[in-house]
Amino acid sequence: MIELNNIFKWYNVGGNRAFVLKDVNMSIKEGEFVSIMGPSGSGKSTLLHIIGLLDEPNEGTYSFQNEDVLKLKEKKRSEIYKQYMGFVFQAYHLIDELTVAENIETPLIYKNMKSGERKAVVADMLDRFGIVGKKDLFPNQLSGGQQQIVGIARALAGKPKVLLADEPTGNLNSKQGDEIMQLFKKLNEEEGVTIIQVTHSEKNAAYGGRIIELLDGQIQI
Amino acid sequence: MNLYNLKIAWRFLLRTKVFTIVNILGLALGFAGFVLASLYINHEQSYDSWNPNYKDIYLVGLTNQGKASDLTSVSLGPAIKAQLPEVVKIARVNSFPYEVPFNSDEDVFFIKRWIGADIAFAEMFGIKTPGIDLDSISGQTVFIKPDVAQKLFPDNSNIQDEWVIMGNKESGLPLQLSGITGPAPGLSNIEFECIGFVKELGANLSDDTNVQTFIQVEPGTNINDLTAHINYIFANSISKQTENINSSIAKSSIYLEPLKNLHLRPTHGSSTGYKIVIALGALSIIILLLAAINFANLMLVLAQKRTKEIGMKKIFGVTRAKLIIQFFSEVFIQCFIAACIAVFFVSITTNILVKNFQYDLSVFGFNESILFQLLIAVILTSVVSGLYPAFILSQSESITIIKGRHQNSPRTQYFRNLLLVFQFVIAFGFISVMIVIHKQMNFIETADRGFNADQVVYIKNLATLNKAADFTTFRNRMKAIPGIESVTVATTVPGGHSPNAYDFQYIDRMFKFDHIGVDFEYFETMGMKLLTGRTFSLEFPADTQNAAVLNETAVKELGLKNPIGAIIHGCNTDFKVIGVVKDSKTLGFEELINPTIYSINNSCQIPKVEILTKISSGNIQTSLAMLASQWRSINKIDGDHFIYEFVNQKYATLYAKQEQLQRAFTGFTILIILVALMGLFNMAAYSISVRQKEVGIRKVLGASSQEILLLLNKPFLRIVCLSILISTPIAWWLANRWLQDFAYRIDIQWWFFALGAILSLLIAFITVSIQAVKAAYLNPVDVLHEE
Repeated sequence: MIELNNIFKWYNVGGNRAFVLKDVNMSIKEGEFVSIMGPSGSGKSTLLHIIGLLDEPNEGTYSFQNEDVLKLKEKKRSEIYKQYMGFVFQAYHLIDELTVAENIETPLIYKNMKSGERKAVVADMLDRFGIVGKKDLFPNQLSGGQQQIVGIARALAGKPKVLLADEPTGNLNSKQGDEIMQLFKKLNEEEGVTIIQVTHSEKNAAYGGRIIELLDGQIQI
Repeated sequence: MNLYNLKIAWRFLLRTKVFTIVNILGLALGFAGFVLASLYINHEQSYDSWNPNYKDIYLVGLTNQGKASDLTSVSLGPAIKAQLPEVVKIARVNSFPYEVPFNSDEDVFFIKRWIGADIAFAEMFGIKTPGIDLDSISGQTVFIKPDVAQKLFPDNSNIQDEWVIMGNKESGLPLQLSGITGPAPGLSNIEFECIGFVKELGANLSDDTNVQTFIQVEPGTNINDLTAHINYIFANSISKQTENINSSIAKSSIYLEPLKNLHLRPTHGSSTGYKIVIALGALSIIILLLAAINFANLMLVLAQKRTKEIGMKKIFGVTRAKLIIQFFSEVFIQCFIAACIAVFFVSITTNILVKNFQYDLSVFGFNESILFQLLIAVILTSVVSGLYPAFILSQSESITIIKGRHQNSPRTQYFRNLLLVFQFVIAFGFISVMIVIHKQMNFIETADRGFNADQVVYIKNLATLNKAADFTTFRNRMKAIPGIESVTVATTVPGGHSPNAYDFQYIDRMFKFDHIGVDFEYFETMGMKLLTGRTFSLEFPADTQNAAVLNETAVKELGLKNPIGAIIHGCNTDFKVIGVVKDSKTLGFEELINPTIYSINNSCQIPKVEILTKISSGNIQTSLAMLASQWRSINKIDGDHFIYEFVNQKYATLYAKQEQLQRAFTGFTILIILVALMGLFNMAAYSISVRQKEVGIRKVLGASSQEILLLLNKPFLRIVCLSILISTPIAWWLANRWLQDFAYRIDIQWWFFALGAILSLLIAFITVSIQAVKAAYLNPVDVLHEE
């Protein structure tokens, strides 16, 4: 489903190139649960952003569902991205001025869903994650774990095929982290959502089916 | 310690460069507007204010059925003085309504305003005659102003008993001068270039001659009682003059006009001057308020960026008082800089106004009182803008400040939005009223005036050309010149002094009509449309005897369906109506058209001197040049100088003051819009910077750049819409009030406001989007870097 070939990404510092990703090749099948591991500065987040179509590599090809997405126009690319990808962040990044329900609703608005449909999907999500009673609360009234659950609900509201998670348990204590990882495993096994997570923790990485190690921008075999 | 504070303040300013510059500029604009308005107001209110008896001098005016006049009988003044002890002094003055050239050996001066007065007038209005004791004069005297004397006798400082020739240099009348008047102590309602004092103005004039009568009363006199007493005297004097109790003068009554109203809102004239002063006064305060509010708003917002500094200082033990003083002095310095920039703006503006628009430089005299007013404004603004933020910020607990917890509370956001709404209510109101004013002035310039003055030229002349037979030669000489289509002469010209009104009798009813003495070709020259009957024609020589033409309003007043053939008696003549012409707005758009009767017979005794001629287009300059070269031989009595004016120009002087209002208003509207926009700019910039993270998140969630642009604009467009809703009824009411001044006016259409609304929304959108665009096209990855 996802094929990356000879991906390079660098930044120009002075006259030299500082490489973030060097000749990265990887291939992910639909339904996999992949963990990308590596120390700080190894380019994990950048790789995730590129896979999620949030960023572009300087060199290389990326084919998503057998379509060369880097060659597509901006508009088409964002269509694909909106339809197939969901993102979960380490810092949750909820909008503070919106309630839980409104936060979950936001991506649906940008998919031009009708109001009635949106409300139905949001209700479904709230129910599924057991947070119906919290739907009118604001993010600053929730604990870290609860906020992350909202973040995940938001990412899943659009029924993406791929869930990209950037250190999703980084700001949580161990119990909350476990709950989240159990959730991921369930999503992957029962609903076939492809999950690609970036993580520091070996424990979390073990939940996945495959581990890819990154060091200084290169994949370690 | 202060150097340390200065360093922090300076570096903070550098960090928020754009905000601060926009803010200070906005405040400077506010101050500049305030100063300009104050200068104008001070100037307009200073007429005669230097007179020690300013509060006790009144003009005696006459009012009849809503129409007022500043002229009263010459015998009224002495009657008042004789019978009322509280009247300390009376003085009368009248003016010669025509322009007279004074010729000396060296030069010529065109005396536009020659007035004659009692000697009491000199003392009442502070007119000095150095070297001449007025009490000792006998007969007529002639005094000229210093600048006139300077032009006519440049080498002579004492012109007593010098001679000038009035009118034509060769054949004019000699006149002996009595002296020069002293320099005027200040601006005055009494303007003249030449003044003739006599012991008693009424001595050589018949009782029913009308003059301006001024009285000076004992301080503390009850004016209402005095007015009643004077009316009693007036009624008595009328019953002696005329038995006809139906004549208009019998229905009139006296009112007293205080000197201080004479320049800005004389009852007998237009109150536009006063309205301008009031409007500007309100405007200047409003602009200042807006600018100060903007300033305060931004200070509050910027201060929140300094929370770390404040919190740290409090932890170090700096007292609250010290913090307040620190903020206040920073604000004060910024206000002071803004004031200096304002002074700079003002001097540039006044230079432009004087050079390019021929404004009078004396209006913009900078003196201590203006600078004092400006200083007060600076202090007040500093207090308003500096104290509130200073208090708010210095009171909070240090830890909450450092953690940055307390800003963006819904309450402060609400307050800030309120201030923006207030600004836009005012800005939008101005835009709407400006559109109305513009449309009305457009209406005045393009609407049907009832006469057509294109290519009609008015030639200055003093020769009385009352007899049609005499004028025929004149006309034929002029028409011999190619391009001259028609020539006529009349007692008045549109934009000149207005025609006099007289009593006319039809059968048994009395009417008051304006009378205009004309000659053949008058209606053709003026492009006035004939409705029924005919106008004066050489085919009917008897027209010179008693034929008369009426305008529509006169016919309406008479109530006649067919007025042709009616006999109307007035000015000792039985006039026979031969035709009716369409009404013409020769008095301008502010006055209703008066019923008017036109005749060639000039028995109403105003001399016909205004020569009018219509020149075909394409020939105008050549025809005028030929006319100029032949003028001396055409006009043997007053042909020395060929001075002409286009009637359109002369007519335009009628609404010159309104045009001035329009210009000033447009200028201030632009100023207010700028100030409001600057406030919006800063608020938008702040709001966008605060929402950066949210924008990033939304983009990750799939928002397109256009959707983000709209999102960022929405709160501000909502504010503008609310302002428009609030402002529209107020603006409607104000514009209506102004339009009431005009007898002929436009209707206010709803689309004026729609246009203003669209304009406001567009400008607001652009202002916000200038910064929103940057945020909208940002790559979300740049914003969402991991903590």
